[in-house]
Amino acid sequence: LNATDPAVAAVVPWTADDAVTRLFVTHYRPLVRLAALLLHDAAAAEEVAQDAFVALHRAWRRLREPDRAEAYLRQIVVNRCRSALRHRAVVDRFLRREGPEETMPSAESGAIAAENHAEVLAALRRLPTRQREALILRYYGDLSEAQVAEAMGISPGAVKSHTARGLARLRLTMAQPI
Amino acid sequence: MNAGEGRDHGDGMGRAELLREILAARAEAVPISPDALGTIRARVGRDTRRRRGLAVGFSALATGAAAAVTAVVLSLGSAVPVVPASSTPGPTKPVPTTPVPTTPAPTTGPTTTTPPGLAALPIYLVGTVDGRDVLFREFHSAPGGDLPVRIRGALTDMIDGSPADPDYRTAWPAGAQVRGVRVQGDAIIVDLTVPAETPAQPALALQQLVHTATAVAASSGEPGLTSVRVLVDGASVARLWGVATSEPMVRESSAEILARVWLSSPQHGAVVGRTFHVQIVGTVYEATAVVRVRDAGGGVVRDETVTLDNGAPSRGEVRVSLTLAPGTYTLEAFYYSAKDGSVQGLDDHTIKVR
Repeated sequence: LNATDPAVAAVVPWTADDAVTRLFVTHYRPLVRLAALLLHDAAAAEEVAQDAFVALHRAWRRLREPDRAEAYLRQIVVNRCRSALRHRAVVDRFLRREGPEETMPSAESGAIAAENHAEVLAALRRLPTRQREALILRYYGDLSEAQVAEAMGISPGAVKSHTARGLARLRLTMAQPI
Repeated sequence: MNAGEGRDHGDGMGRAELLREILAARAEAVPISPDALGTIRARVGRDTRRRRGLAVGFSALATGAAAAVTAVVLSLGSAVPVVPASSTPGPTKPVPTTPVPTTPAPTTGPTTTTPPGLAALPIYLVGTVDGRDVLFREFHSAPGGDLPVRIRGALTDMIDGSPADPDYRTAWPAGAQVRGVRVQGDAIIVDLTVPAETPAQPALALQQLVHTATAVAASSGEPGLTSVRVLVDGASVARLWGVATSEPMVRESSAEILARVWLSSPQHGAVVGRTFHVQIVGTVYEATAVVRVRDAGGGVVRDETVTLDNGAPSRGEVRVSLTLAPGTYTLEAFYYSAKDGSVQGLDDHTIKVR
């Protein structure tokens, strides 16, 4: 029995192990990246994404549906990132990393664009948590307002207003040529 | 409500698009560990045992489907270096290595032209500024060729540590060698042989390597190669000189590890024409740095405040044109402390104007 064969998976319900393995392939990288954008800490981002899969394994009996699993994984990532940011050590690192993006090669070819991106990202990091979350989920995750609302645990109306305010606050930074 | 918020819908749309692009670019640069599924399985196993008091978890699936899963991940084009991550290297696949240049990477000393067959490659070296050891970049001539050959040449040069500027040095111990370099996904894989002796500044040495390898990639049109994975004698090691190396390494934040300002060009010892360009790189407050020129007697002949194209926290650059009479000069780049106006971060190069 090959757990990765879609034809087999369609008829045999996934076990929790199957779910983790299958969903890992499609969702792990995007989730690490989402967490990295929310946290600005690549190592912590991986831990958060791994937490989400461990939680998924535990909750699989209740979830059952791959579609629901995706939303569940995202909720866990958003929640864990929130708690991680509350944690002092991470907050300190977060604030210290106001510098240029450390994973971007600088001052070599094409680096100036990367540095300007870094300014926008720095401005994004200074936004209130909910505004930052709404913008990242909406524009990195390409989610609908309803999906963002689900991930953040707030109403779609609140997502709309956090997104609008967040974008408006980024206005000054992004008015500069990029 | 912000007064300007509803003013221009078109501008708002453009902003969203731009933010989308920037987030996508940033997300692309996030390194992803190669063995996350293994880590998750191990954690699920521990979690399950703890909750049920039973030794069940992933073991049954892990053996059967691991190969299939790896195949799926690779077929999706993900950057998953398949390298055994073990502190006790067993039989491992030989690492394909780039051909060894028949002559050692020449250290031709400072020149303004690049000899045939060689490429000018960025090399990061260590200097001490205001009591802090930080990285500076020089350009050295090293063997040209495809990207792995260039990276290998640059790293060999970096390890040998023949800086043009005598104020710079390498943090690498003598005897270290690059066995091979290859590119896998968004990682540069560097296979090393290292001497038993631990260098004085292992973390700085590894950052020198990460900066140099990624700079060569970026200057060769591959700015997406932002992480470096180190192998020792062909195998992944958990730690090298006490520094964790089981995961790909990326650049430390520039503010922490790079010189705040430096003279990128001309290099120390360069011979230039009467009119030449001075290039300054830096992460400085208000994007403001100073270029000062002293003659052989130490007298200041030029003193110019220059504006870099980006201010702190971003890294900026500026190029200014100078015309000087023939002779020997010392160029200085520095910035004034915002706190007390003192000279900070001084980098100087002695050059000859012919």
